[in-house]
Amino acid sequence: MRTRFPSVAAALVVSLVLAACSAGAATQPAKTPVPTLATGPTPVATPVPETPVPTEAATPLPTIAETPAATETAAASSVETIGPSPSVLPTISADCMKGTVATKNSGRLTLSTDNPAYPPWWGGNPKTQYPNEPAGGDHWKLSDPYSMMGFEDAVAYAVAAKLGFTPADVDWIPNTVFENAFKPGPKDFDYHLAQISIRPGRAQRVDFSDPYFDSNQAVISMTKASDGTPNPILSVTTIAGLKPFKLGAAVDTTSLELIQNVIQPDQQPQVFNDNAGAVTALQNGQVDGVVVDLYSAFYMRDAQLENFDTPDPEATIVGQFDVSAQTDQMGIVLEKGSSLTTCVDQALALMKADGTLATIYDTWISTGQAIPFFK
Amino acid sequence: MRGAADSVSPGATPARRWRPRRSRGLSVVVALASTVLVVGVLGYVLVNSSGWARFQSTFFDFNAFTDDFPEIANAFLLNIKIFLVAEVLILAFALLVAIMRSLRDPVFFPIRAFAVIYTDLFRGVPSVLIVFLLGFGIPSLQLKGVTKDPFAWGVAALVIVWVAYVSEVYRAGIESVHPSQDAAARSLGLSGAQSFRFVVLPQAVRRIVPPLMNDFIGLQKDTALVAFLGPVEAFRQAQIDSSASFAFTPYLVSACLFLAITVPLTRLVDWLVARDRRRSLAGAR
Repeated sequence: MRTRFPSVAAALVVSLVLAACSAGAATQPAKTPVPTLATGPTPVATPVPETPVPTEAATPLPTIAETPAATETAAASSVETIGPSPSVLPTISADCMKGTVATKNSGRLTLSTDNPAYPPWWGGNPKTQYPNEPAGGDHWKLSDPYSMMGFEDAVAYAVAAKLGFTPADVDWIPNTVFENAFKPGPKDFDYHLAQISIRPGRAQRVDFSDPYFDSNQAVISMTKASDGTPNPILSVTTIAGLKPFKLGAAVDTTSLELIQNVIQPDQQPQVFNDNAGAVTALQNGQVDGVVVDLYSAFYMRDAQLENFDTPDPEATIVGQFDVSAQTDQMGIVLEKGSSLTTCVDQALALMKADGTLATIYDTWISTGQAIPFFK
Repeated sequence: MRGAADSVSPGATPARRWRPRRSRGLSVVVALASTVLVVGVLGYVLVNSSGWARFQSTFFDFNAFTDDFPEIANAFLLNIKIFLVAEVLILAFALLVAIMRSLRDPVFFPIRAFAVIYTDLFRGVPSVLIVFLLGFGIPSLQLKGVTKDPFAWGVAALVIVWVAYVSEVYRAGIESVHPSQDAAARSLGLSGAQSFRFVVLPQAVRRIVPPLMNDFIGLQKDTALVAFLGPVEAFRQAQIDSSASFAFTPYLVSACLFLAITVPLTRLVDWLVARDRRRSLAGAR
């Protein structure tokens, strides 16, 4: 046995050296280049491996961002091409309609979203028994997709309606693990909505519908630092000004991508399991600011972080990032190669053309709040 | 290590020698053939399954592996840091708890009771809860002069949980040393403390090295829990890379890094234990 030791020691040394070498290599610049400012929306520069990018990722991105977003508009984000084109409405092919289209359960639609799902994307009360909700066995927390309330929920039902499915035809599956939506193999759902941003790399594993929403990222902070003084991050007006602060975001979000690729802070960003962890760390003063999409930031500020006993708001949204910083287009997730993908795209196209999507947007997404853009 | 023949009693030796000699060549062939068959059938079933291509592109994407490796390896340094700091603290505190629990005098009852409650409690509670409780709970108290550093609290949580496990390993080792050893030491004029320090403990520690290794490999995998508080370690980095591409290959990268440490470490400890046994038994043979 004495002779065995040198080989074992060598293996140990080699593995340590390998780890050290790779650590050295990792100090190279981040692999994803920062999107450059352009007049049109810049596709996020995730390196695309040799496999061809599926068509839905390759389709030209909508042109909503043509106007430079530098002006401080009230509505930061906007629904895709809410243009009136009433003369010729897109049609939905007959084989997409209920009765002919193939779904997981014949004649029904099985949809999925995260549980818990947060306003303003989702709404309703989990304790309420909605007319279209199956009795018993209800595991929803915080909101209830059977309520048909909230932006995402309304989009999900509107797509279903365009394909001929009534609310009574829709079943919901709670998704508690983000990964579940893109695990290999067949999916349990026909389509899945959970504010998921379209990315070329992701599009290799699942089908994305055409985008139905442009989301802006924002930074939210406590109004006062833990020692009671005004929080210094509140005076930041530029992206570069955010660099010295300790920022946090939830894992699996494009908010984290934005910290790493656009802000590139001096300190390693803190990454949390979910927004709840990020909010806790923010309250504790363990991070100076949390990056999150703007509408989730509204919810954090007005519900999660707000102590209604005090007159001043506990949290403040420091600013938001315009589309040139990072494109975040939300898409509906479907099983890779699903025959339903084109049907969902047709439904979305019709919703954009006939104003359904604009109505949903006006109903559920608050406008009229001026949040400054980082320069 | 001694050969197989030395370790069996003289009566059994002829049978052991006789069998392999006749069938050695054949057994190698049989072993080889059955291995090839099993691996071949498994491989055939996997590769020809309808979902293989998708499975492969999700879990074994070579390009993703090489792309993500540097970042994850860099994050793995944090795991090593957590592991090294925690391991030293655990070894020290676990011994303390084990000694507390081994005290026999009635006057020490409260100390003994504390040690029992401590191990019962922290072995039974999920580690995640302790991590959240310390990492998010204590900073929320806004105590002056108390750190809010998630790394420090994450390590503290791991130490608290693993001290409960390791102290029981220590105790088992201490109790496995025959009381006659202690009695002999005392008869030679050593005090109770001296007997424990110079006679019981060295023998106990020698016996518990393999189970300690078990716990340290467990601890090393638990370092991923610190990520719940914000710091980015290998597993969290893999999760980040995974969410960018919806592939699970990054997790494979972090698994390989963990293996690159644990497997050589285990072999090293095996070798140390074997060497130690060889030395301690040298006079007995």
